[in-house]
Amino acid sequence: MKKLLFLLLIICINIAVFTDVVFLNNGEEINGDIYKIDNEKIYLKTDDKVMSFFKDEVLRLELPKYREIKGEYKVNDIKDKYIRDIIKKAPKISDYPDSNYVTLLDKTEYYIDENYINTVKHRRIELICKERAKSRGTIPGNYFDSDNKKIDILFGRTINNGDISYVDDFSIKKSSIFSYYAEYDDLKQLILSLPKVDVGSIIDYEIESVSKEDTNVTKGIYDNIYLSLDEPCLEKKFIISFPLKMQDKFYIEGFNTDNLNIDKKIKNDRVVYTIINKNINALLPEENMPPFWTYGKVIKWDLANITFNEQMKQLKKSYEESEKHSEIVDVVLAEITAEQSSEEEKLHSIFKYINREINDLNIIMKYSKYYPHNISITLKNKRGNTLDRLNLFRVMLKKSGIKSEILYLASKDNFHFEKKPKIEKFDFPILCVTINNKEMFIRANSNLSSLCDRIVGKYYSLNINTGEYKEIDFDNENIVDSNSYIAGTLSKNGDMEFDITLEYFNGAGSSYRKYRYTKQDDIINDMQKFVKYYHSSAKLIDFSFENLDSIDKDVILKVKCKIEDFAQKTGDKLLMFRLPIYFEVSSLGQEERMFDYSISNTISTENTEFKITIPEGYKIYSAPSIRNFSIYDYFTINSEVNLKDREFKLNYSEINKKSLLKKEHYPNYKKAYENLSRWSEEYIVLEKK
Amino acid sequence: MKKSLFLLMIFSIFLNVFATKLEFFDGREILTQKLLLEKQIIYSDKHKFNKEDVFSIRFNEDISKSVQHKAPQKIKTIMLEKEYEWIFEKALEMEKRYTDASGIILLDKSEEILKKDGSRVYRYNFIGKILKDDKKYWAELAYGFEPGRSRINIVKARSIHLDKTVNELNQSDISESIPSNSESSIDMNKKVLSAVIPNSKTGSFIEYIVEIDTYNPYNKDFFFPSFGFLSSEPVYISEFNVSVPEKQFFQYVTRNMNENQSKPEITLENGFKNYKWRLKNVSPMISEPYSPGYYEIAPNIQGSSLKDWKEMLLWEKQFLDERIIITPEIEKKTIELTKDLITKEEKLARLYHWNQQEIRYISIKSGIGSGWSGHKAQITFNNKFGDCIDKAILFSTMAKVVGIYVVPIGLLTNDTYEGEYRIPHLNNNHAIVKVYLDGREFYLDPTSEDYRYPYFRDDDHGVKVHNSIELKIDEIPLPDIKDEAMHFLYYMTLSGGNDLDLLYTKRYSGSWEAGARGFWKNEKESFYEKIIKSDINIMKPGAYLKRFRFFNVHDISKPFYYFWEVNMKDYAVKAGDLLIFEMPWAEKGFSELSLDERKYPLAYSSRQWITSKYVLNLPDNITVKYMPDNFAGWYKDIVYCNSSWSIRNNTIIYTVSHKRMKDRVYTEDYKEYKKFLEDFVQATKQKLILVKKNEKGE
Repeated sequence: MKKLLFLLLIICINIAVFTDVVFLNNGEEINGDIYKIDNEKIYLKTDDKVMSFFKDEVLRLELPKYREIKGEYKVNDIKDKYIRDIIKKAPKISDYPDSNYVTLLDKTEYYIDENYINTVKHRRIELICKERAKSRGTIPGNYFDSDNKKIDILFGRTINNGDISYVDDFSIKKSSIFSYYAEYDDLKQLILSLPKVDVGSIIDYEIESVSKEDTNVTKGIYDNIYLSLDEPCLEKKFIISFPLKMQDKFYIEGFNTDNLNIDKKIKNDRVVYTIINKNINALLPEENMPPFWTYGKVIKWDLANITFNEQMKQLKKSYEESEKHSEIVDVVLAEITAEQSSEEEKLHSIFKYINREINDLNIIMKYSKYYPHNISITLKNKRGNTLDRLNLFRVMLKKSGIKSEILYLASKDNFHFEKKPKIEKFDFPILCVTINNKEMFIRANSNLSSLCDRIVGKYYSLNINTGEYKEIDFDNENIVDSNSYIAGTLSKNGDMEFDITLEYFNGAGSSYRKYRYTKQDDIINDMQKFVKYYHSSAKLIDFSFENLDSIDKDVILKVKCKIEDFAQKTGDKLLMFRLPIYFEVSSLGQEERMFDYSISNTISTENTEFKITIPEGYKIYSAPSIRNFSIYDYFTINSEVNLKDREFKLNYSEINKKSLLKKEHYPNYKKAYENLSRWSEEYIVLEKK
Repeated sequence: MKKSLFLLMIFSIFLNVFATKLEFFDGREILTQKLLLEKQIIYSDKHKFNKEDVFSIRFNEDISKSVQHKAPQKIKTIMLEKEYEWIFEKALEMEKRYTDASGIILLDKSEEILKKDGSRVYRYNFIGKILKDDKKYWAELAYGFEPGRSRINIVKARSIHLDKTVNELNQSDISESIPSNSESSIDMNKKVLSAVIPNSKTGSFIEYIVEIDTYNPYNKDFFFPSFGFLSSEPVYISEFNVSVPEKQFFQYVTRNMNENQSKPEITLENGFKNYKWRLKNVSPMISEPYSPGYYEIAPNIQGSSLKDWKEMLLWEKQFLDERIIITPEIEKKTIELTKDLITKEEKLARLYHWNQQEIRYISIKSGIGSGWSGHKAQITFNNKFGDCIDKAILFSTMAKVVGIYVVPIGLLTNDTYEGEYRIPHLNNNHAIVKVYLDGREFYLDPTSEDYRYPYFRDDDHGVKVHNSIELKIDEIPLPDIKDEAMHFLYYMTLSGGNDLDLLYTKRYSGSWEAGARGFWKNEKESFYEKIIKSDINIMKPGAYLKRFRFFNVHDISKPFYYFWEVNMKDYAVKAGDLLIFEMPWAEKGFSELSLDERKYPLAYSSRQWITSKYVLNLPDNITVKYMPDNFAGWYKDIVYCNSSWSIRNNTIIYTVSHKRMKDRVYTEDYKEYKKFLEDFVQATKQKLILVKKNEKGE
């Protein structure tokens, strides 16, 4: 009997999985089962022995748990038949030869109680089909606001050949996204790494988040259910349940969806909506995909506790609160606007202060909150996210008697926004300043921004002050964003000297503004690289910048460079060269498209002028002809070629009129653009007279 | 009586500086002096808990300087001490000399003190003037520490203004957080202490003194102070101080410092030997493309408490010996993987490929043991993930099963800087393996995912390594040039109507193959056509893809290659009656040659050999009007380039080749090296000029 018990004990020890870790001061780590700690020592059982350590030898102990479903260690142990079947009946990898992974189940459950505390459980089961998808076993993201939410892993496991392996706490971490900025330290993320993930593995995990007592301005719960996916999904299930009395506050709508299947039940004074989509095929993206709202299938839902107007009231109140205890602002204002009387002067001084003294942390509004911190915090720390900086700007203008309003902008990806506006649907803030009865829109989204920067695109805007929202269009093809003047002198040897002037407007030159604080030697190094755009053998002679320090004028760059053997000498009679004109055609490889095509240029006009002096004793043998390229209402390139005396001129203006090309226009657009690219490859050939 | 009570009180205070901290799964934390565990119940000073509710137990938790969450206090303004007034004049003087500086550093002073009990203190004192807004981050302090081992004390932090007023940092404004991680790296035990010095602005000075007290080092015998004197801004005084107990062995080496600069001022005081190095008026560092890392170009000092590498390597060895353990599971799997193979080399290759592809790279660091010397082989085998040292350990263990001697080695990859090996210290950032097979010694890197045996990552090439198992420092040579090569073939036929048919194929070795395979492996096969069409449209707008095929994309045991067949209408550019024919992608460029002169060497990761061969069949009605000149030659023993044309029976053969044998080009060679390559580039830019024959065939 004793022998039997002893044997049983041995077997049990061998079966037990030890996860405790003893970390010694000397760096050593020992895994085992910590079973006893007395006044002096720590006792540990390992696979083959029992060990002990004095407490002063030990740095720390970790007692991680497996995040497991007890009793489920093989597929056949899984109690939930529905889940067991999903796993047992998972398709073969060969059924999906092109897929990286197949989602077997993507289930999200919202349980909302009477106080709007919501518990969300998100479960995913995926079949890993390709080696490149093994990284699916590391689950990043899961961002959350720790002031308002608690998040945790309920379980995480990998199934291989019927055996289940669970994740332990060692492979789970919650950390700050912006750990260096205390005032934004509530933004966290959860990462976990599942064990034994391989091609053919099934990964299965569930994450739960619970909102805390809601003190946010934005009371309410909402989500998007995306049905346009990169990989196939066999079942996407969404369950929302809330008290019956909230029913009239619930809204749900599909966009670009057909035959939406929404099941609604009422049970025990609760409403339960269930949306199930099965067998979703993978989207096959193309180059230059259009904005998501043009093709993306999504179901949007919302359970608002307060109306949008009420939400706006709270938001407005938070702005009022943010101005309190702001006496320090007066001190700063007095300093920076001393002896200034005009509004323009004050605007410039305040903008300069915000731009130069308040670090932009590059934290977008969506990551942060939709309402600002008190401006004294921003001023004290001399840093802030976009919203905090803009709000400080607004308050400083207000105290100087200049009217300005914060607008939140949202891209049209928000779908039929006007039906259900919501604070959280906005992407970024801007400031609308009124001076001399004229409005100017300022984004100020970096320390390199300028008052001359224009905002591009079409948006929905929300005026925080009035609560008004409307569509707003900043695009204008007639706005000139740049003028490029390239004057060149070609020698008989084929050497070229270029005198280049690049005039930028409206923020097109913003990438050069960093040179305001770059060392001269570093700038020279960069300019030496810059001239290689015109020819890989170009050598920098000289350069200068204008308006680097300006807060309301854009940059002008002047560069002189020399290129030896710019023109190829063929025999002793011909010189031939090409002008540095480039039109990018890599995104036009396909003959046809499934989706519309996003034209990446901003809607604007860019002008380029070449003036080349050819060497004496030479005449033009062949040169690019005058060509005009235009395609529907998308773009126009008008060129002009002149030869007078020894001066060869080529001008062209690129007028970009639209940012979205309809797919049915694509073949013609492709052809026209490729012809344009070929035109730019033509040579200028000079012949000795 | 009073005296003994007083002493008892002092003793108690001392005892209470450290406590034991319990961290719970639900986020609670408690401090306790007493800690017992019996039958799954944990007993603290006042309570008891289930063991399963506790996540971690930390001994030596420093409670003396814990972050106090007090209400924010007003910023106080005081006047500057007289002894600091020199900073104003000095800053002005330096601003006149360095007119484009964003900031002036007046004091850059580091002290590293090794105490008699083996603990150590690092102390840093900074004074700088902010001239432009990009240097405002000087006022943002952030320091990492490891709870239970070290603590941080911000001794002083303040802004100083031109009117001599001073604003000091309030201790209540210091915060602590857990730093963020990437998807491939999770550091379990680090925290960050951060603070913002108040009222800093352009034109003001920043001063701070920070101390990092490592009261519980993992190895009291290891003391490796180091310091670099170069900054991105000009520095007035850059000073490095090291203090060790008088009888403690200490040695140092310097780099990029002349004899005078290298000699420290040495003093003895209170049982300590103090070394001081000071450089004044240090000009700022200018960044150059492709330059070696900071410690290779900056004046710097590395110190060590060890006499030679043996002790260091023994310490690493003891970790590794405990981790390279064959278990029944590992043995079984290894045999299963290699049972169909005969030679040891074949088995090694199979295991190399398996480790690359089957063990995901994820780094989960809990401390120096797992951080520096990895986890046991069985743990990595179970998890099927691990970082570089984990993978090296597992690979070594599996190789041991089949009787091949493989050892993990540590190194500093060549994309950081050339490691310092004259004295022992910790300087690894990566681990790979050394193999002893059939009388040969060579290296493999199981971290990567796409390397065909026997190739390995090019950032491992040409570096020295810690071979702890064998207690020596080895060196990885640069590979044979044929093992870092890429060869292109363009087989073309031009029609009478100026349409071009092209068959394009590429073959690779080494990191070129791994990079190309990795790219295509990570793309869906259904996207291949789109990607190729994008590429060929750059070659010639409107190009048409006739067919393509890839070989061995996913099988890293076999060579990866592919071909494309393309048709391009109206290929040669017409200029009058001339046809200007550009060999596709023939023009070379070297972005690293953008500077006319260099202060620092050009640093490449490894050798490189690239050839492109063009075969162009011309139609009967088209002939060559002009063929460019040939170019071929060596620049010293560094690089060979070739751009050569020939014609036979209306078939043109053009070959472009670039073979670089070295991974460094030093400043004395740079100008001529640059000229040589630029001449080569020019040669590759030359176009072939063709003409149509007339009716007479002329």
